Formats: sequence, C-alpha cells, structure tokens
Amino acid sequence: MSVSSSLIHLTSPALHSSATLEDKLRILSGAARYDASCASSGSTRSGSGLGVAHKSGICHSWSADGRCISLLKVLYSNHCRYDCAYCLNRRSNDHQRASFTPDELAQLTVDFYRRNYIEGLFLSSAVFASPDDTMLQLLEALRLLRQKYSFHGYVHLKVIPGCSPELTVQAAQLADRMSANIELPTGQGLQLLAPEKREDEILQIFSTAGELQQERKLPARRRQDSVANPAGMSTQMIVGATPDSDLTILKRADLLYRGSGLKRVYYSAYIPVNSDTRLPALPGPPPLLREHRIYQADWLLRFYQFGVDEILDPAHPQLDPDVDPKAAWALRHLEHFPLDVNHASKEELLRVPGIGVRSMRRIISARRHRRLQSDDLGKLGVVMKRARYFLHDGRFYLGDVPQREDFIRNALTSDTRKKAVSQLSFDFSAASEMTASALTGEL
Amino acid sequence: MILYYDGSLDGFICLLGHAVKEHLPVTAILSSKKPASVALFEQERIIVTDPDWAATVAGGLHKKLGQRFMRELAQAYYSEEKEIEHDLLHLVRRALKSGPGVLGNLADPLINRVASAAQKTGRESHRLLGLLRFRRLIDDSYLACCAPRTNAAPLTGSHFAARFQAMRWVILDEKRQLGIFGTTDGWQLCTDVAIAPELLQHAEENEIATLWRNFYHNISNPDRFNPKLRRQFMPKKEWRYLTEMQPEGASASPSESESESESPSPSMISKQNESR
Ligand code: SF4
Repeated sequence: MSVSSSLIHLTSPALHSSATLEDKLRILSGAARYDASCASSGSTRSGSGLGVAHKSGICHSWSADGRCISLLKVLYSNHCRYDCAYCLNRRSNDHQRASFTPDELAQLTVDFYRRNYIEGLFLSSAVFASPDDTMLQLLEALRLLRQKYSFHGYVHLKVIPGCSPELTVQAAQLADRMSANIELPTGQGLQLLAPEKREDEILQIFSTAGELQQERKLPARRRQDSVANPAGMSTQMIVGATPDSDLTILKRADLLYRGSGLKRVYYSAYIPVNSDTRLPALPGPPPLLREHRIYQADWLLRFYQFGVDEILDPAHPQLDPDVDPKAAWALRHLEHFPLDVNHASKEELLRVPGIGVRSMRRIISARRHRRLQSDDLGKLGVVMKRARYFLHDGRFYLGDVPQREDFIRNALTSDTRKKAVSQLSFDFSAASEMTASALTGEL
Repeated sequence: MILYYDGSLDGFICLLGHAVKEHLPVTAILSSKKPASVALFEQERIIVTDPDWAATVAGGLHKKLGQRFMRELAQAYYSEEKEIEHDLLHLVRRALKSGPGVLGNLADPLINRVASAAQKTGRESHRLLGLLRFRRLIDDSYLACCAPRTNAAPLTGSHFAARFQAMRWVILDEKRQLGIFGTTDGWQLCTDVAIAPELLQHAEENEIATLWRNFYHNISNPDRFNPKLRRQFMPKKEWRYLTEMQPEGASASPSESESESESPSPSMISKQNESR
C-alpha cells in the first residue's frame, strides 16, 4: 500500500497560498506550453495522427498556434528544486509559483471531461520536494480521480526521475500511459544542462516499465482484455539545445525504440527562455523545420522499415532541409525506380515518396479489381506531384521530367520552396508543408 | 419507377428491402420531405416506413454483407449527398451479387462516390466527438448543440453513451431538429426536437466555462502563433458552438437569438411531435 497520507502533509511544500483556482490554472497551464520543461511532451503536434499511435486520437480544440488540444495538460506544481538550464521553472528563475491540491486537480479534470472539453489529463510536475514525495502527491491526485470521482478517462502521467520503482509501479496502475523525458540525446548533454537529473535514473523508469510490460501488468488499469495496446512508454528530446547532429538524435531514438521498448519518441525544437552561457544563442525562430524533418525520419523508422543507416551516415549526419528524408533516400537510390504500380510489392510501394501506409493499402486493394493508371492514383490518395517521378503503370513512366536526380530534385523542391517563402512572412519557417504530413504522418 | 420515402434511415432500409426483393426498376429515389418536381408519367410508389421490417432487412444485409459494409452504408447515407440513395441501391444490388468486396474497387466511379460520401460523414462525426461542447443545466443534465453539414450526430451516440454512463445528456442537431438522448442503457434518436427557452443552466456552468477559456488561451505558445493553421483545422464557422471561442463572460450559446446574458441557457429540451 501507499505511504501514509500524513507523510504527504509533512513533505508538501508551502504550496497552499491564497491563489484562486483560476490563477493556478493560468500559471500551471502556461508553464506547460513551453517545450523545454517538465511538462513538455511534443504530443501536441503529432499526437493526433489519424488512426495511428495515439490512444485517444480525438482533438477537442486547436489553440492559436494551430496545435491540437486533447488533454488537460498542466503541471501539478511549478515550484522546482532543480535548475535545468533550458527550463522556465528552474529554481534560479524569479517567477510566479503555484500548486494544485490533489482534489482541486481531480475535480477540475472531471468538470472538463463531462463537458467534452478534453479527453483526459496529462499530468506532470516540477520537482517541488524529493522525487518520491513529489510523486506521491501526483499519485494522490490520480487516486482521487479514479476512486472518488470514478473517472475512467485517459490519464497520462509524467514520472518524476529518481522516484523509487514501487511508485512507478503504482503509477502504472492508475495511469493509462506514462512517460519520462530523456531530455537530451546524450548523457553529457544532460549533465551539462540538467545537472540534477541523471541519465541512469531516467533509464531506470523505462526498465521498470519494460518489466511491467513483460509481466503484462502495463496495460495496467483496464485494458487487460486488449493485448494490442501494451501502453508503452514515451519520451521526449529537445532538438537544438546541444550541438548534437541529427544522426546522434536518430540513433538515440532508434536505441530507445529497440533497446528500451519505447513506444514513441517526441522531439521538440528548442525555444530559448533563459539566457545561460551553457545554451546556444539562437537567432531567429526555433528550428521547427529541423524538428519536422526529424519527425519524418522517425516515422520512417517506425512505420516504413527504414534503418537509421539508410537515412543518415557519418559522412552526412544532418537531414536534408530541402526534401523529406524519404525523398532524399529515393533520390540517392534511383536505381530502384521507377516501380510498376501494378506489380510492386507492399514494401516497395512504401518506399515511394508520396505513397503513405494508407494509400499503399488502397493501391493493393484497388489493383485486385483492375489495372491502375495514372488518373486512378490521385483518387487513391497518392500525392502524385511527388510520387510520379518514381512510378510507371506498366506502360508509361508517370513523371514529366527525365529520370535523373537533378531534374527530380528540382521538381520536388520548387513547390515546397514557393510555399516556404510565403510562410516566412509569418515569421514561421516552412510550416505549410509540415501541416499535412504532421497530421497523417504519411510521407 | 420513382420511389418516395420519408427521409429516415429506417425508411431507406425499407426501401432497399422492397426494391431488392421485388426487383423494382428504380429511376429515382426521393424523400417526400423535400418537395421536388416530378415527371408526370413515370410510375410512382410511396414506401411506408415500418421499423420492424427495417430491422429485418438490416439484419439480413448485415448477415450477408458484414459490419464494415453496413457502416459504410450508414455513413454514406447520412452524408445527404445528392442522389446518394440511388447510388446506394445500386451498390447493394452489386454487393449482393458479387459480395461486399466490391467496396475495394475504389477506381470504380460509383464505389468512389459512395466511399467519399461515407468518408465525409465519417470525418465529420469524428470531429464532433471532439468538438461537441456540453453544458450542465439546472436539472443536472448536459446539453450539446450542433449543426453539422452531414447528418453525423447519430453516429456519435454510442461514443457518448459509453463515455457518459452515469450522466443524463442530450445532443441536439439544430439544423435537423434531431435529438440524441442518452439513456441508462444506450441512446435514443428523436425527431422534431427543439429547445424550450425557459430553463436555465447550472450555477457552476459559467465558472467552469471561464476556467476552460483561460486554459485554452494559456496553452497556446505565442512563439508559434499561427491563426491560419488553426483555421485550417477549426474553421471559423464552427466557432459558434465552441465555449472557448466565445468572448469572456458569455457562454457558448447555441442560437444567437438567445444570447442575452440573463438566459443564455436554452436548457430544457422539449420533444414536439408536430413537425415544423
Ligand atoms: S526538473 Fe528541470 S525541467 Fe523539470 S521543472 Fe524543474 S527545472 Fe524544469
């Protein structure tokens, strides 16, 4: 059983100030919007991918930055003992602090859920006491939610690094999904920028969760019946706060997927909120295009059977900003193309830029009924302005320029470049190409 | 032959039953709710809606064609696309001849029309799952209003029935005067539903709505401000029903005429049996 509740009282910080619930919500949700902090998840951008990965898959609203809102995403508290260089809530920053009580938070979640504002709760916290004591308060809030309010909706809990494994186990019984931030692609980076956090403590959380999963305890609360969703852990990495290359980042991600059994790695472009000599001085907007390309490469790893070494190698450690990583691969391997759309295998079709998992399935299904021609492909959801250079229909090559790298590259980029330029006037680099593929994840 | 029916899904299923069973040579299908000009010399027939017969026909089709086909059929039907009934009759005839696999033939114009109609409704009903906003009324029930382009609201019934088990709730499609009423063991569709203006919302409603609005505005990252992208996902015409898009102090009012602040709460729903 849990540690007695009197302990919670003793160890809770001097939280209960006179702030109203409205103030608390303002402070603790505002804290959650910054990408580099305990609250960040990255799930806000791609988390709504239709039909894939995300348990809830329902967007309840879109905020003014165009991101899907699905969960009540808040910090339990923004009082922090730690001093991570990249985080607004770090100890050495002088700013407004607040904390919920367990009951306030549970009640608020239920009130929002009943009105269909949200799909559930995404709870995280600054480390306001020892990791164990911090974690105990979060668990108390979840317990109230589940027991007192009989809430069966979705709960995502960010596990506090350094808490004892038993608490991770308890969390797995209360939450539908858990995560813990790996923060940076290397242990050295972590040591430099978040010296109170330890890489092995974070990896410990993954391995505890991994054991639970193997014992089939991680579907945890209620999904015992469905083996399909072993509610794996996810994590998040900041892109651009350290000089690490895309190759380092993707290798780390690949290791986390295959070694630690993580379900999902989120990336978030570093946005400077503190001035600190350990951090890069980034002029201009956050590296969103880079973040976007990394997400695309990540999709290739998870859904398209690509290996990291097919996407990047030490001689080319950075992703090509001009074309997406799948197109970049195809351009380097024109010897595989053009493919006959009526005969190519599933695996081959998946490697064609402009054909995603769904359009691949549609092609396979439609060509059982008749021979496909160029005109049919658009209807099946193939993005022809990208795919045509890599396909023929058994008789004709579908591209309108010669089958040569320079011509195709030019044809693929002229379109995106035009869009990128018009977007720059919004001080928002290359966002338009991003939106469509971030939504479906199809490349 | 021109077939008339009452414009309900039950009625349409009855129509399918008659047309298929009796091999009727159908040239057009018209819902008698929508007046239309009719060629005088064509044969006409009015199909009477009989819920029991509809259930029998639906059961038979389900057995022969499977769950996926039936879902596609309902979704396409609810798209309210022009002449979709006619397409669906053809599709059912073809599927009965050669099996539900015909749906895979997406390069065929008829199948493609039906599939994209179904997709349209499917998408909209999925969006409603997120975008419906319930308000707590003084009698402790919860009400959400909407006016979807397709008749997607009925497709959300089971989702909310599973989710809101211990609540009393209503979804009202104001455009079609349709109400979906949560019951203890599921949900029920009622026609000709309208709001009675005299009842009020619960005392806590404004406070919770304000908290939500605060959260909504706070969660947006000013460095990534991108209203164009937001509009792409959430077009302005949908804002009317969204609590978070209402100005401070007003609660999302389903119909503009009732938006004075004393009674922003068309709280009780009345079923009116005379249609209008
Ligand atoms: S632990 Fe680090 S990242 Fe988390 S809230 Fe504290 S300072 Fe921020």
